[in-house]
Amino acid sequence: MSPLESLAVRADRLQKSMAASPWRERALTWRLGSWLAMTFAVAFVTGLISHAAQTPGWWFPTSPAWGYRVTQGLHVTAGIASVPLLLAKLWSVYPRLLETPRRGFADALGQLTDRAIAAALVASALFLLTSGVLNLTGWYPWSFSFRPTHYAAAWLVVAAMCFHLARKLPLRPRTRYSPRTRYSPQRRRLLLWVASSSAVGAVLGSPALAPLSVLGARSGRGPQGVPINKTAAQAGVIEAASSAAYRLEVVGRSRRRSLSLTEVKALGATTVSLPIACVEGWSAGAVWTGVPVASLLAALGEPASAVRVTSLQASGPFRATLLPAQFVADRRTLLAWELNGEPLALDHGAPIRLIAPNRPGVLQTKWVTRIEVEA
Amino acid sequence: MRWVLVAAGVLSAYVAGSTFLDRPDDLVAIGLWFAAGVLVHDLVIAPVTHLLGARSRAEARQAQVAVDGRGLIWLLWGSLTLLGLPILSARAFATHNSTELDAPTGRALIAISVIAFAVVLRLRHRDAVRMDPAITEPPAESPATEEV
Repeated sequence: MSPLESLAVRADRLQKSMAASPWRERALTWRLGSWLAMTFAVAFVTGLISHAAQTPGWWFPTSPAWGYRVTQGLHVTAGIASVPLLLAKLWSVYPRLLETPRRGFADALGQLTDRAIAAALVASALFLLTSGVLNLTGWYPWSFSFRPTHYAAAWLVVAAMCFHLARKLPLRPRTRYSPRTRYSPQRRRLLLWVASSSAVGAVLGSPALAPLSVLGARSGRGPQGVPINKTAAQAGVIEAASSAAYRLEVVGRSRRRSLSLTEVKALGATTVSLPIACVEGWSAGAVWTGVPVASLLAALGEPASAVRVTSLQASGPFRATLLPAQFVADRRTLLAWELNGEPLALDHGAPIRLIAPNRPGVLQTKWVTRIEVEA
Repeated sequence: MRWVLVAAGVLSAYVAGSTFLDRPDDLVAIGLWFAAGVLVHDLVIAPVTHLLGARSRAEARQAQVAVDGRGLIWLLWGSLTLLGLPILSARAFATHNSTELDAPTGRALIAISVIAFAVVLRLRHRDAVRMDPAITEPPAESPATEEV
């Protein structure tokens, strides 16, 4: 027997011993797959909302103010809950990887198709969860941009899952209680522990559930009761943001004004309670005081229309963000100088920051220096 | 139903493909990450899990007891460790401020590991006592089971 044949025989034996395990069974695989499909569906839908929120169009709503807080919290929690489910699902079908190639053209082609679909599904699902978990920590050990790649991988998971289901639907266990599909006490226990691992992992790992999430990336604490993603030092704005020469440039279609902080405050103060919620899943409720962006534009004789908000920071993907007209028109959208009854801390965006309802944290521009009406 | 799924699959694959192709320079790096995930799972995680399971299976046959409880505890421990380790790695490798990565992850992982080891040791001890012929006779029927 050649070494290759010997290896094939060993793989065959290993495959048979694994497949003969009383733990592995089609109904169990189907159940794990159904659970995984549910958590992935929640993560996918909320992920699409997050993707839209990052580049909001005219149709993206400003209410409810807590919308992004809830959808992104769900997104991250469902993703974390998927980790044990995906590993258990892969464990349940692993022996199939070691199956010997089938003979006959039709059978071999079917097997090859299944393997290609499984490869795309497994690769994209593992990437989705790995990149998602790493994004929670703010650690990007890769050269590509996270958001478009995570987004594309999510669509690839959906595509592969559709093809996978189209192939596997005929194999669906017909009834839950037939003798073939009844779960043994062992399998019931396995399902219970996988579900528990998923639930415990989600509670302990999701930053949305701080302070319960001891395995989450954040405690949820921070100066003035709100965590910080980027400090003034990290953004390199300490000097400019602390300077007495600070001015806010407001550029309209026909007029422009350069305002000191005192002049901005003289436009009138409004206090609102709005959560700040980040793509990493953490969020914090807070009370903000500032001038509505709509009032600022009205002082220039401009109607409430879309504006570009620019930060003092010299670079970074979120240095300038677009605030659509419906957010400008919403009187809860402020240029704030107070947080939770105290002057805004430098790390929270002093002297002035943007805070708007139902908007991702990275778009709540800090250290605002320019508001320009979009042409 | 199958054709609806196939149509939805084609549409989703188109969105995925066009988004990937928007950044052709990134394709190699993305492909490497995709492949690495599959290889790490198929060549490391799955075989190690199987080998650990095989060892427990052998123990179970020898002792004629069910050891699935221990395997399931490791399942929970492994899931939680997988969530905690990236945070500890990020603390070492990523730039972060004092409000990031500030959850008591290290202490929580140690506590979870100590509890898991303690429970597993307790179960091993219980099985050993149960199987000690000086204390009790082995059961007539072997409930030997496979391990995860």
